Amino acid sequence: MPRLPRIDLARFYRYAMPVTVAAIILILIALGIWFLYLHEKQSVTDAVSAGRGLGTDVSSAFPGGSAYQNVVSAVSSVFGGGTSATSTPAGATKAAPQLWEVATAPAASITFAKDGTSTVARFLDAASGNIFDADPATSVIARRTKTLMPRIAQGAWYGEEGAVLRYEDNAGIETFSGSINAATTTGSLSATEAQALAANGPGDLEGAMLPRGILDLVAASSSIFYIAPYNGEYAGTIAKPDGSDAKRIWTSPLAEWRAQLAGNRILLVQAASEGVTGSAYELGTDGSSSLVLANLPGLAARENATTHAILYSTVGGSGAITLSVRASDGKVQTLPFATFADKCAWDPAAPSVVYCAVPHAIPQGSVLPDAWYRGEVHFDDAIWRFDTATGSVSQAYDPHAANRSLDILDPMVSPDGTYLAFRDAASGTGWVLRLTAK
Amino acid sequence: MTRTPATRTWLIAFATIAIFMLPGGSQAISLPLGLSGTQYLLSLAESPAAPAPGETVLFTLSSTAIDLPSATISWYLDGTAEASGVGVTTFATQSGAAGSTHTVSVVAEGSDGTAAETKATLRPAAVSLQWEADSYVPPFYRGRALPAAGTSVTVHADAQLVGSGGAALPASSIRYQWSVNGTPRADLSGNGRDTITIAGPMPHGALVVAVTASADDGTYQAAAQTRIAAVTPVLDLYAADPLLGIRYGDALSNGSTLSAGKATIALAPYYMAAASPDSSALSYRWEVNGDPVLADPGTPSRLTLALSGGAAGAAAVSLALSDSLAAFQSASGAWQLMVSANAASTPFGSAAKANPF
Repeated sequence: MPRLPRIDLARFYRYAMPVTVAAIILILIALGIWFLYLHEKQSVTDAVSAGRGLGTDVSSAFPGGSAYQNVVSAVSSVFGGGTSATSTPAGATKAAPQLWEVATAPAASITFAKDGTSTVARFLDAASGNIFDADPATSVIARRTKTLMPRIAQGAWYGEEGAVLRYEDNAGIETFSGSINAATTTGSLSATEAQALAANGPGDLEGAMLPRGILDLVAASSSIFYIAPYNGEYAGTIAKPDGSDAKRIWTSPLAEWRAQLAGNRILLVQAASEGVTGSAYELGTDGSSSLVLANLPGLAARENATTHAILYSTVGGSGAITLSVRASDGKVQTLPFATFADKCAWDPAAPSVVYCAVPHAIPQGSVLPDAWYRGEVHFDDAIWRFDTATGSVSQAYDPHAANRSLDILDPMVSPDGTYLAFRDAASGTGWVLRLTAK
Repeated sequence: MTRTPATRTWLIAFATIAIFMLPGGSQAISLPLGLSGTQYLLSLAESPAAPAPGETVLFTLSSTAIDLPSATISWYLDGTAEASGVGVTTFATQSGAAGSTHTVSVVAEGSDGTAAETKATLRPAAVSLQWEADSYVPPFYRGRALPAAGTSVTVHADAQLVGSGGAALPASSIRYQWSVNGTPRADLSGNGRDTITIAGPMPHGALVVAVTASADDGTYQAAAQTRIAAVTPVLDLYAADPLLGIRYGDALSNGSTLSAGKATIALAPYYMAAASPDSSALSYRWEVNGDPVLADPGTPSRLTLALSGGAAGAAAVSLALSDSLAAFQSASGAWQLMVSANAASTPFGSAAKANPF
């Protein structure tokens, strides 16, 4: 029978006990660290989940979704908050103020939608990807979609109900194209439709992902044009809004083209930088192209969809900003404004008229427009009207009148020439200005 | 200089014989006064040599056979008299559209009775040089990617050469001759080679890229050059919001307030050679209030600032950034930020190390 080992208690207490106690202490410390680590990760995960809309209430007839609240509860002082699909505060039929901040939350894009006699400003909430209609005639704001897509950086619009949402993901730039589910309403909202929307709730944005890595995109009524890498170059492609029937119509060895629609043409302008020459092409839907502006420093441009006159700004190496119009016959007219074409919009109702946001002062010592594009400097603009046919100049509005300082970006005039919609470059918020006194 | 009538006769006869020996020479003779063969007595220079459409072109007449200061000189544009006078040796006109052809003729009659004429064909053509760097700019950035050290530059020449038939010549029918900083680059030149990619300028330097585009038959030619200056990388900080993403439209500056007790900031290293702010080639050294802070190795361009104790406070954030792939590329920045306390703070410090933030 084997002999059991004899336990030397004195030896155990001398050596094994301290080791055991130390091990237990170490394990407890490790558990503590693990707990703290998990706690921190949970916080981060919660934030990311919130960003993706997880945990956000799905809207119903009276949606209480936090993303929606973030927008509508921040709707300008006209409302002071609302949680229904249509924000119908007391006095909802009262016209919005001449300068109207449709929401204090950033908008990725703002445009106009028209239904009969009603013109609404349609905007894309950057945080949720929800689409809202803001009616300046009644002050009603209606949420049109409830599909959550956070971190929307850029948007485009097509047809009556179509929208393109663009955002940055870990894999690069993603683009979603969809249309508002017609289960709710179509077109913009009449008072009756607004009531129906309040009863039925907003719809979904239903559509498809477009190819990854689209660098720039514009949308028309029933088609889109986008620029994306292709075979070591960059191709301009026309497709249906859902991405089908894609047809490459143009290629370039360069990537940095900014596209815009001008009627049945597409204007492609090289990305701007102070003193760096840029060129612009007019592109037909058949792929034909013509060089319309060449080797101009700091070039940015906006083409008139009706007359095809091109408003363009240049910034020389000395920082001097010049705004000009090139008529379709090639004649050039210089405007009395020092501003960027990015701050101008043609009036569809009066094709010779252009509205420009003109800074009260240009910051000295900044490389422009680069520093503005990087968000390092912001301007304090007034809005001016210029008639290229008569040469008449007048100030349309100065936000100082409403005690506001706005850095106006990508303005657009409503089809009837009544309103100007734009975003503030600093805050990202969407605004509507009534151009004609009512 | 005076010549005897016999000498003049021999010169004219020799010139006449010579011109008929040249291929196509007979086609060149269509001069206002029909002084066939006398163009050898005159020399007509065109400046610029390759005029662009709509550009003012100066023609200058010279001669070793006729005393031009005392000669009566007449200028014609497409056969129509435009200018005339004694000693009028220059004539300026504006070129037409790309692909158009105009003939400038000049007749010089010396005081000794010697007469000669010559002509030049004005064929405006243009080449537009377009370029961009492969440096980093954030997604959706509106501006141009500019070259800092270690980047490459792609230059494209769009030659507007329109043949006599009115059709634009395809790039494959055009010979492109490139030079960089005055050095001809035969390795980059050739038919159809309208795009080149070259190393960007050295720090504080510039590249002067020039191209001459010529039609295969030599009838049309255009030249252009562009200067591409090196830039210093620009480091901009932005608030990174879980719902809104990185707020590229509004860079943080000294005194900027982050609207939460725990806020994430993200760096955009404009114009650096790295493809992404989180590229492994970039080495970040963050400091907050003087203390080194380690960011998440997976996203070193982002830093989370969390207030201890829930109070509002200031954060002096500094960053030194270097690119291991670009020997001369590094950048640094410092920002004095405020963090408001309107969001729940946590007992944790910044992303990796306890700190007042």
